[in-house]
Amino acid sequence: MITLSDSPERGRKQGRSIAGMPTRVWGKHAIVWVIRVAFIAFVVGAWQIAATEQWVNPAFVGKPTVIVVDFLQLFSSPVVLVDLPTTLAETFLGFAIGGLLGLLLGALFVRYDLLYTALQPILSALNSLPRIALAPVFVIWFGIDMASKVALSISLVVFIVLLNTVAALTERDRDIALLAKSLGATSRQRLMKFVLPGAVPMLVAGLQLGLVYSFLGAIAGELVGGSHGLGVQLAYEANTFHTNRFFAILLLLAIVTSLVSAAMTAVERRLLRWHHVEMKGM
Amino acid sequence: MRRMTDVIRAAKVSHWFDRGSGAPQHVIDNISLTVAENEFVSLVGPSGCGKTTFLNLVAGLEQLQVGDLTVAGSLPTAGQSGTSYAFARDALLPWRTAEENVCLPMELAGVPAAERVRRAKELLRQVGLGDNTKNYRSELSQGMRQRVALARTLSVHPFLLLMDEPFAALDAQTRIAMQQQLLSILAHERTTVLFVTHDLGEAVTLSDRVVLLSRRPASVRRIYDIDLPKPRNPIALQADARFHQLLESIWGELGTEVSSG
Repeated sequence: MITLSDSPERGRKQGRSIAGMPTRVWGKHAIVWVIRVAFIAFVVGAWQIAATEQWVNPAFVGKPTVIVVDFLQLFSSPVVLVDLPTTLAETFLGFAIGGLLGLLLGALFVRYDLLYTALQPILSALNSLPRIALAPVFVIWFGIDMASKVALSISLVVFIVLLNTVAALTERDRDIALLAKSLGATSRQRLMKFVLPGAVPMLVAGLQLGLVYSFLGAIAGELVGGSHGLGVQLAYEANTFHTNRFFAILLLLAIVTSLVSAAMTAVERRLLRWHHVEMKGM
Repeated sequence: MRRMTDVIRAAKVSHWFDRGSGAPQHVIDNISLTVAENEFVSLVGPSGCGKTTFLNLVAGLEQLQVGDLTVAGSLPTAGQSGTSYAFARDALLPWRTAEENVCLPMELAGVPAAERVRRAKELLRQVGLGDNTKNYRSELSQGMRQRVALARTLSVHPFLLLMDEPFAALDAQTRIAMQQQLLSILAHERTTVLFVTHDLGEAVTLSDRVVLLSRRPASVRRIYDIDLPKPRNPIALQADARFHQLLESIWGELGTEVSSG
């Protein structure tokens, strides 16, 4: 038996992807963080000085130091105890129902492509419709409480996930399709072993986008009207010129959405190690 | 050479491509060819002449139109058991490790899991990738990918191996190493091979017979018996007078085929 001596190519490959991170990369990592922190410090610092020196009217733009104090006070107020849970519940309900519906409809359209051909222009038209405009009508249909926000959220999520699902399941690698054919795979094997595993990254990407849109739907619904929710509070603080509190709630919202997105990304990395390895190599 | 059972029997096979609008394109013209059990036959010819189309007909990937064609006595069908197809591109599934890719044909064939893994590990060791069983496609070089694909192709002990320029994407050194590995693995198996290549040196190195096809529509221009002794060593052959004699005569004929008309 002949064993190839392939140490050069193996060494090159593993040096990049398997061995410990070289110092050069750590150096790059540090610089990235320095730039990141410096950027935030610059913007916040400029904002603080501009507000203190009255170059801009602090009543309109707020002041970072006051915003931080207001932000900390949110944690002992109904904003964190009532409004945040309400918004999160609307978001997750909209995401779960819209996502599931999008996945199922997407799969249905891939299976019966004639149906998709027929309905595709209508779906595109509905998707390009600014659904936020439907918020007042959803309030009429589903009431002023959570249901109308969830409905708006679903109306955004379902199309995003649906279109991504169709794209994920119809994108065919010709080589892989030929391999499946040459191996005599049944249609079930073709789906389970050749199509679905490759589609998962795009399906997950669609769901990640769906999550962003479900937040958007919930907040936008609340801005239009409601009794609880971060959007309701944002509208109230803005209308009453409590600019600092407005920005404090916005900061809370930014942190929460980032955390939720990061959690989803972490799950994705764990589930799709192969895809992560592949992206790193590009 | 002594004829045993014929694994491939093609008689007066012709083929046209439907181009949608306009007249169908004539790709294969009246090819008759038999390949005996355990024989290694290469198809060479001008680029785009129809070599791969003929291979696809034998694989059942292309529907037979005119003529008679049998594989082990029956009409070719895609995924026929005992036949393995190796492509020019590796077609490895990126979400599977090297080992899991080698296991794939065995999964479809219903080989038990423990046996699959054992066989995959053994094959990967044979192609020099014993340390890379857990690597994904993106972690492997082109040469390593092609070797995983070779291991995958061999995993189900095929009696017929159809290979479409499997080493074309590799650099010269890796290609010769792969040829050597293929020869040494095949030496222990009773496998018939139909091999498409545009590398005449590769065809002469590996084959018992080399079939030179004409320009499109492809017909058999000439068949060369490669009477070089076995086992062969691709590197040693570089200094072999008979090897160069055969190579030159095929080149001469191919040259007139490319330049005529």
